[in-house]
Amino acid sequence: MAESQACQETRELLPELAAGVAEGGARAVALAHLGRCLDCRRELSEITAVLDDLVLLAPEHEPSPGFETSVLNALAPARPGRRPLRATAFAAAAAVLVAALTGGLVGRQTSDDRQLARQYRDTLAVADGRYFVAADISTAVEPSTGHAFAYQGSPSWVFISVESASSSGTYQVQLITTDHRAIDIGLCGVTDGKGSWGTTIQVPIRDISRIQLVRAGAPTMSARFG
Amino acid sequence: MTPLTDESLLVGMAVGDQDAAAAFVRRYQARVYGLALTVVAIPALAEEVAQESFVKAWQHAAAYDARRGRVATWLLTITRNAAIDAVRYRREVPLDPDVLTAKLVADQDPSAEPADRFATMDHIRGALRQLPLEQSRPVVLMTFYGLTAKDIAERDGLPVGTVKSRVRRGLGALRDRLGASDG
Repeated sequence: MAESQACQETRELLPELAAGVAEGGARAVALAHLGRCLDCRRELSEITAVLDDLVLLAPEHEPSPGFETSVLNALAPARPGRRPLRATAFAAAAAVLVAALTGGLVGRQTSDDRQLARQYRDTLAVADGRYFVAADISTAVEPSTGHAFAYQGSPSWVFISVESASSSGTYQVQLITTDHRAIDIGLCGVTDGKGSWGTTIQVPIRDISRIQLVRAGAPTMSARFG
Repeated sequence: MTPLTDESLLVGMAVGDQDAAAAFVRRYQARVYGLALTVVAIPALAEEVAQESFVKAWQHAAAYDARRGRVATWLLTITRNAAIDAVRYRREVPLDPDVLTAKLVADQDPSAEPADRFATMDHIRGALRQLPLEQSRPVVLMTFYGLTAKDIAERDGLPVGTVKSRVRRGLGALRDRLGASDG
């Protein structure tokens, strides 16, 4: 029942989300719901496609003769770096999704925010029926010390955001699969109780039972997906 | 000689190739500037917006993912967002939405663009033309001027719920009409 209520509230906001103009807490709630609801994501994708089509109707106009030169002069100082494309794409996708779900997009949006929200939608759309999941990280005594995100796509990846660990240091990050295998996937540094880290993974997201962060002398932090 | 695809030009831009950037600008400047002018309605401001859009495309070319959609859609979304930012703080939208809608749906010269593109555009124009004004007006205000349902409600003296309902019905009708030919 709660889900259909959430769907109804989210669908009210879908046109504004698709147009990139939704505001405030309602937008954050809707984005979080979209992370869980395939039907709402599909509807958002369809509405976005309609708006994209409408934008195509703007009539063409040639700018003034010096426009091309002016643009190319502006591009020279803005020359992009030669970063590895895959790493860039991964970092962007992870940052977009994590920012969206942790409230980084609340408030009146700028064009960059709208682009970010659009990338969020598009990143989810890339999965095309697969999914993005989020889970609280907790210890035996602390209900929430952060969040873990897992994205089923090409590539699939996980992203860890530790916000209030009781012990700082370097943690071993492990995937525990549904058939009880423990796979070390990297190290996450935590300073003053905070840290974030992500990586691409080979394991299908549906096969992950939990992600845990382990460090000698510190409580194990764990996020359950199964 | 076969022209480079949009995706090839973007890859060139992503690694800092000026020639690729020049070809890309030449290919899209009329559409980018046209959209910017449609939204902001002031030629000098539209050129600023168009330039800013190309700079952003250049800076973010490496993040473009072909699976997310066509290059044209990606670039025009950047342009639309930049144009909306440019008009956001005006009290009035630059052009009455009904007048803008009339411009968007006006018949175009079929010889002005490739046949397949003209057919697609004509189909979209036809779908928008069929919407009642009470639906096309808020849809156009939201799409081209970045107004929220609340903004539109205040502007037109309507309850927010009424605006939301009209937008949803309008977009639903457009989706049905546009989707009907996609399959």
